Amino acid sequence: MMTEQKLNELYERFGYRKFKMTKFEPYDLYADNRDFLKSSQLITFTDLDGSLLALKPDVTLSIIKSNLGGEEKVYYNETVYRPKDNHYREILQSGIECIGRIDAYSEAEVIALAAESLKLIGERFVIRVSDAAFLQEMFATMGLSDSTVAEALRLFSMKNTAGFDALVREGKLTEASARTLKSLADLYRPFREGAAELRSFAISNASAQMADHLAKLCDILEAFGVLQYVYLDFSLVNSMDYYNGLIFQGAVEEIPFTVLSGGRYDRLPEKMGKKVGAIGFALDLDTVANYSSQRRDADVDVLVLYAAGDEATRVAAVMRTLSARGLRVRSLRVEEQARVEHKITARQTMSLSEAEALATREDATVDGTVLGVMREAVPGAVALTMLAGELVDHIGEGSGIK
Amino acid sequence: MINVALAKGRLGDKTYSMMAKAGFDCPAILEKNRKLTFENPEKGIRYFWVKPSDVEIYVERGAADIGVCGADILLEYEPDVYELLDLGFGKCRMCVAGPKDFYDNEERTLRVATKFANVASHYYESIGRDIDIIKLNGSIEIAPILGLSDVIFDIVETGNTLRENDLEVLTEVVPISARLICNKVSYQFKHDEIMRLRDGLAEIVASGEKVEAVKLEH
Repeated sequence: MMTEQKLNELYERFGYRKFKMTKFEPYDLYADNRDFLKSSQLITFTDLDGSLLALKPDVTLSIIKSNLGGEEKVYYNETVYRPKDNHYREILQSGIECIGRIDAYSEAEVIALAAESLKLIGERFVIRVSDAAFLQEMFATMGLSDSTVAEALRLFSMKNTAGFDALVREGKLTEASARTLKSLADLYRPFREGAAELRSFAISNASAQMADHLAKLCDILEAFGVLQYVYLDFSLVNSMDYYNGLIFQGAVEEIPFTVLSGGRYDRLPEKMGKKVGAIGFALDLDTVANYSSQRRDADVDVLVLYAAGDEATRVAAVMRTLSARGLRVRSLRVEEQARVEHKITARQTMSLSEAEALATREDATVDGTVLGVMREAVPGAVALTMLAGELVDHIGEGSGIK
Repeated sequence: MINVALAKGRLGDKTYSMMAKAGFDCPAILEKNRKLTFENPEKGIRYFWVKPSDVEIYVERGAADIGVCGADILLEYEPDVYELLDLGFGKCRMCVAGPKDFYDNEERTLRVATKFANVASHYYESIGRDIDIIKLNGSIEIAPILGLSDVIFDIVETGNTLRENDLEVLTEVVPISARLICNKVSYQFKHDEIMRLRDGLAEIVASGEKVEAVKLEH
């Protein structure tokens, strides 16, 4: 939740507008644009008037559909419904789309925002950039057949250089071409170095221009202060039928899967008859949440046990004060302890009077640190000068409140 | 620290021997004990043993940064990993085998017994042959003998088992050898160490030098 908010703030600071959509769209939107979906499997259902609807498997299609041919920058947090491991899953995505006449600046801005997004998730992160058009131009110049291109792309995605030798043995590739493709597949360089090196691979005017374009992107990314996180890597080829130019993916060190992917996809608006280009990315927030290091290790910070005879107003006062200090507090009648629906894991369990002592102590200290001063007398107390989180940490270590 | 998943068995023994030769030795692995992971902090490497067909799972999900497994496993499960090097050992062939006098009656659905259901389906689809896959987990050779299947689709090393049971290779589909695989995210964050390891191994492979596999406890 926290990450989601921070991401939204980030995108809004760069002038992106929030795109909100319903859970479903007409089935035809997805059926007509199957090529632009990761999977053609959809959850469909019939509307009351008999028309067919589908739960959204993707947000980008809806954004482009709603665009009328103008410049637009939007962001979203939406759930999409896709098959994964033979079951439909609800997946939370966050992302941005930049639509219009896309220039080098817009491309760099989107990559820079991808980098800033990852920065909110992990300390160490890398964005890998590849250029689908450059590879396609290269394959065309080498005169490869469709099936050889498909095989070459598979080898690229696995950085399987040995596989190119096999293609040479089968007579599908010349040795010179294999050498070039092998070094390209193995390439993993900081973006600026990589772009410079790419110039030497350019075997046609068009590909030389593409290499120059990448070099220009480096300058803009440097101005954004994110160039050091960006690497050139041609193993990003998975979605080459979708993306027509830049492709990029982002990863953070703690998560073993790619969490962000995006690129330039002019073919989609073109297919929908809109005269604009588009670039964007999506972030898989579920994977991020699953690997988040801020895992909870307790249900509550303090479990307050009171007896049936205790006055309810005392319990209320304690609950009000402790929760206002930022602690997660659960109250429970002692005799109910054995009958709770879910076992409660608390960092500290205390009686009502102990809890009252904790709540009323203005000069409560932990290891000599003053925790906070109440501005009002209990039970109206709120306002703390120190983060409750630190108090919690100390409780967690079992040092106790003095 | 690079985490390496070693396949229990000959493949893993050989892998470790090559890694050690490339400068990533780990004396702890030679000791007899019940430890599950073996570390050499000086060389920045940690090894652990897993079931051979599980190597790709450990690597794909990042529990291991790298691992070595047969190309057959990669073809069957198609994990999303990098395949950085053909190590040139563990060579065998993925084949269709059947009775010596086997005649393929194309009017009938061919019954194929195999461990490699995915590779077999792809192969027969590519040649347009209608098949019925019988997924087995071992002792594949017995299937045609008992009439469970018409042919088998399996890896063949020497062919001795086939010969002794009056079976023979009918078609060779793809050559198999051991591959160095790498998690795609580890590749980015431990790039220098992983490249050093790969290049060290590539040198040994290129030199054609035979590395004796030490028999290890697993």
